[in-house]
Amino acid sequence: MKRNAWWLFALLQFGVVGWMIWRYQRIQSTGSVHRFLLEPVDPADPFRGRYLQLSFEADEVALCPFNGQNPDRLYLSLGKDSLGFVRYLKAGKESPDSGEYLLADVADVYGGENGCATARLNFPFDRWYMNEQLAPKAEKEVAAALTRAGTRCWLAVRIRDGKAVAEQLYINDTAIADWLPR
Amino acid sequence: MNPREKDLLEWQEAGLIDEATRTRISLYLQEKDKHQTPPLFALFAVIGALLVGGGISLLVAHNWDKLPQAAHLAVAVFLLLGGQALVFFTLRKKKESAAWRESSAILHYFSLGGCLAIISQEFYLGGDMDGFLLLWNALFLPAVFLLRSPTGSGLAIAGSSIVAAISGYAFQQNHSDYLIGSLVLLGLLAYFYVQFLQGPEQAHARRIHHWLWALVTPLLFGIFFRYDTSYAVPALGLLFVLHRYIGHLPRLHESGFLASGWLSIGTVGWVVMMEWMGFREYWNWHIDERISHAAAPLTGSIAFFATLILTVALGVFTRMGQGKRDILDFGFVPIALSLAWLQLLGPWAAALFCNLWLFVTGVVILRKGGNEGNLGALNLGLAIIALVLLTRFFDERIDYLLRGLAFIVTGVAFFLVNRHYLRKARRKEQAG
Repeated sequence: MKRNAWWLFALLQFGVVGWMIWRYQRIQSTGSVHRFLLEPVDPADPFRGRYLQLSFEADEVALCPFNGQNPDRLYLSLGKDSLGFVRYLKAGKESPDSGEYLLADVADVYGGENGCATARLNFPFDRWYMNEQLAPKAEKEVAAALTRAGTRCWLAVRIRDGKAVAEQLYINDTAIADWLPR
Repeated sequence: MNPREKDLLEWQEAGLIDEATRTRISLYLQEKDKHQTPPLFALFAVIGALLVGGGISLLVAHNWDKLPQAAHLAVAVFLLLGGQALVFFTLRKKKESAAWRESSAILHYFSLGGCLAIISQEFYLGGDMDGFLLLWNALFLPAVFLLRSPTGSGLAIAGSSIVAAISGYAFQQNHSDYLIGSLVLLGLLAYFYVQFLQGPEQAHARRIHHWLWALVTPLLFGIFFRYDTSYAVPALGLLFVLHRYIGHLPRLHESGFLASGWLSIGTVGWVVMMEWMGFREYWNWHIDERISHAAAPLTGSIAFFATLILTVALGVFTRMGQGKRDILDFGFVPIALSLAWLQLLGPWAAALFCNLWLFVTGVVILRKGGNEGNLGALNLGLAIIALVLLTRFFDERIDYLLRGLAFIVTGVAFFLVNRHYLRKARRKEQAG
């Protein structure tokens, strides 16, 4: 009885892990690429190791009209500026009928006095995991790059059906791992 | 020769048992020993598995970025399958061995965590620690029940409590679904604690669980007071009275005070909360908090009154109804009355009442300890009295002379009372 139950639970565990791999692998291989401008720092997680904590220039979106109810999540219709970086065309509680979109959590909402409010966003790709030796170097390099005029740090993100997986972190057009002195 | 065999031989030589009885007992013990792991071996297995499991977690956290993605994912799947195979082997071949059950539960826990951590690293999944831990502990939970592993249960209680604390204390926004999930897990683990950790062979594990649960509940109880902290201290005081009632429940009862985390933490926690409420400044702060959080959600007030009703109901219908009355079991009375005094007369009356009640409690326990010759109760009573006086050490409203004399009298009483009862106990021993 116990052994049969264990087969069932082992299969469930395997199913959940397999589903996670399949889901994110699918986005990573077939999702479309979007570029998010960065402002990172370098903390550590006891189980998943060192990473760069990513915050983004475009982390707010206007809610117009605002009906006074704070949404938990928003569908963001995605567009591009002249340099190819992400900008939000529209934000709403329903997924748009056409075009690329991203589902993001709402951290908080402020304003709202004149019928419009601003929502601060939490993205599902706010960590860039790195080898423990490389992460502190990466933080320094990115911090230095952000203070240099004309240098841009950005994250390439694969998005499919509103779900996202981070693909690569760039300083200008060089991947972070290649940018670092080895 | 086994020490128990030696005893049996001695008893046979002394004519207490005959040879046939000795042989029967000896065979019975041998058969029993076959299925039991020596406790020390089980303990070493637990420590070893915890170290190996922790090592797996740290190796994964290093982040082997030079390996290709396929290799990373293969390691993740290998970790999962390895842990599962170990559990399967234990259930099939080593079901009776506590060492195998415990170590395979621990290794499965950490290998499952390692597997999920690698997937997070590989796909740069978002930073919610509570979401990560919730998935990990939920997937692990069946192993606790199937292996009947107290250590596995302890790990899952710790993990689920962290999830509840992170999401409940609003370190993360919009995570009420994680909070509900973690409370469901804790509910199932509480069922495991009450249902499976019975019998003398589980005594150590059960006692550790008493302490774990008695610590976790007040830590998570604070979630209710996230918006309005004004009722937190009296409500915690009531919760500690409830702890004492839980400690007296037949299934969770332990004979020693320290063996029962519910009784120990309940008693000490209640004394600390009462001591806290013995300061007039606390009640001034309480009034300010109530005014400044007048518009906040009522979760704190509701939790306070719900705990009060539950405590009174349990106090009246269970333990006290059976006639086993103890002044500590009436701990809800001063908390409810001090709030009434606060309304009627002001903060000074509430603080004075708490101090008086605590002092009387100390005296009653001291007297009871003396009558029963119970040195532990005696010292608990003295400690409560000393604590009431100690906090008054800093009370500028009482004269230095009075405070100094009260301290010396209590200190001398400590020596004399202990000396008197130790001598009494020795005399009793010699007479016996």
